[in-house]
Amino acid sequence: MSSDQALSISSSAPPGFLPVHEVIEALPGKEFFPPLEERFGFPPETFEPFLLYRPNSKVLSIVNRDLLVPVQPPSRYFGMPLLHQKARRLTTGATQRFGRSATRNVFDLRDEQLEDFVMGREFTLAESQLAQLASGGFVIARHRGLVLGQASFRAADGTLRGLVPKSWRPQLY
Amino acid sequence: MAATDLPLYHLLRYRDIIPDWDAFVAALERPQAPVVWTNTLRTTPGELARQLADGGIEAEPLGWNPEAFRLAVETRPGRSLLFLTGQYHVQEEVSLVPVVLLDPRPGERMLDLCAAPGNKTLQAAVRMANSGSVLANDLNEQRIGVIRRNIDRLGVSCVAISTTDAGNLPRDCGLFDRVLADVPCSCEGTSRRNPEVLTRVSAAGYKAGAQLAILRKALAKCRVGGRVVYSTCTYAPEENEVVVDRILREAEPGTVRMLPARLPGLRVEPGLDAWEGETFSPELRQAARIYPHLNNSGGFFVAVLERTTP
Repeated sequence: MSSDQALSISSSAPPGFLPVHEVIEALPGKEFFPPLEERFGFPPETFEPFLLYRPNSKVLSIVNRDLLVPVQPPSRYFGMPLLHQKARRLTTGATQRFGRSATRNVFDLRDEQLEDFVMGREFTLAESQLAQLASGGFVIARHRGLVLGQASFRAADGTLRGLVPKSWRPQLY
Repeated sequence: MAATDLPLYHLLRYRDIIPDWDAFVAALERPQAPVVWTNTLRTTPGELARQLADGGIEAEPLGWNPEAFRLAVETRPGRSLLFLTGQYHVQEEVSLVPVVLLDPRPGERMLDLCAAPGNKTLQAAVRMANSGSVLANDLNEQRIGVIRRNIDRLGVSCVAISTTDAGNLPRDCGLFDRVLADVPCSCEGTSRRNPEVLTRVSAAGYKAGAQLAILRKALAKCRVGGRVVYSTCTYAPEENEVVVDRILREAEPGTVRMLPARLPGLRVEPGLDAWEGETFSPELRQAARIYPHLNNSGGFFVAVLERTTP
């Protein structure tokens, strides 16, 4: 945990509780949050309320800094997944939570592209959609104001593939 | 199982306590409409109503809970982009009642003792505006994954999860502002969705021992002035009034009182004051028995208790 995090968290907790930062091994947010803010144009205070930690080898999760957990019984999981560790890509859940405040590398799907997006099939974006994306890499897909999830965008040929996990697909198609 | 083949013989024991028996039986034989509630972290009830209408989904706000909507019986609420994007959560109407009565506020500490699959935990965390501290506990490790998936889908970051026997919560666990004891039960009230439940149920399967231990622990872990809600999805007095009455009798005088389990627009029957020769504290009438024909829902029991200073 970085010293600025320690300063901003009150160490006082009611009897029988601990502040969550005493229970998890928090990772330095400065290594992970600024690249997300830069990529998607999130306001700089977006991740301020959270601590980041590694619950397993697959994801990094966020949890509210001010969460109190009982001394006993031991808590096993905290908060929600933020990033896939290997690719450092936002999870679908985190994309949906924070995606509304994205101002960069976020684009609007057309009705006829929805099925391909949700099913993870590659398709080519229209000129007006390409204009919404600053560079290749992970981007955020919206449809009529709803944030659907992440996609992998290849700038060289303007193609894109949705990254909605199979277990999240709503059996519409 | 065809609805007309419902094994109602077990429920006949309730014939004298359920008002308008024929309407009750008729309701059990009707399919139940799905209900969804607004994820207010992400949208508003008004906006969700508009989006549902735009998607051609018939939705009627619940009379007692304008954040929740009853959909047409044939609707598959999981098959929608609104579901994929976490605008709403699917939950049986009557199981929304306990958390509304528990009334957790932003910034408070809330304990859900038997949390899986996490629907009520999430309902509480969303009502608390994703703030404060929610502990979702469930003994069944296999069901923790469902809680985590729901947390992920609705975008909630104020929940911790533990896997302890709720009736044996450690002594050095701190006190909470609100404690939910939505206990395991015989589930008789879910027969509209799972008619098979009536073939399995028998008085021998009632779980009063475990329920008592859990409610006792719920009160022990609630701060003075805090609130405990006890709920089941069964009609059985053995799992409802008998349990709450026993807790009221064994508590130090003046340390627990019941509050009315009533919500404007929700039709309920009062808790029983007697059953099979046993009489209960008159306070039990403040509990609510919810029968399927009253609100076109499932069956439920809920009691609200407050920890008080002697």
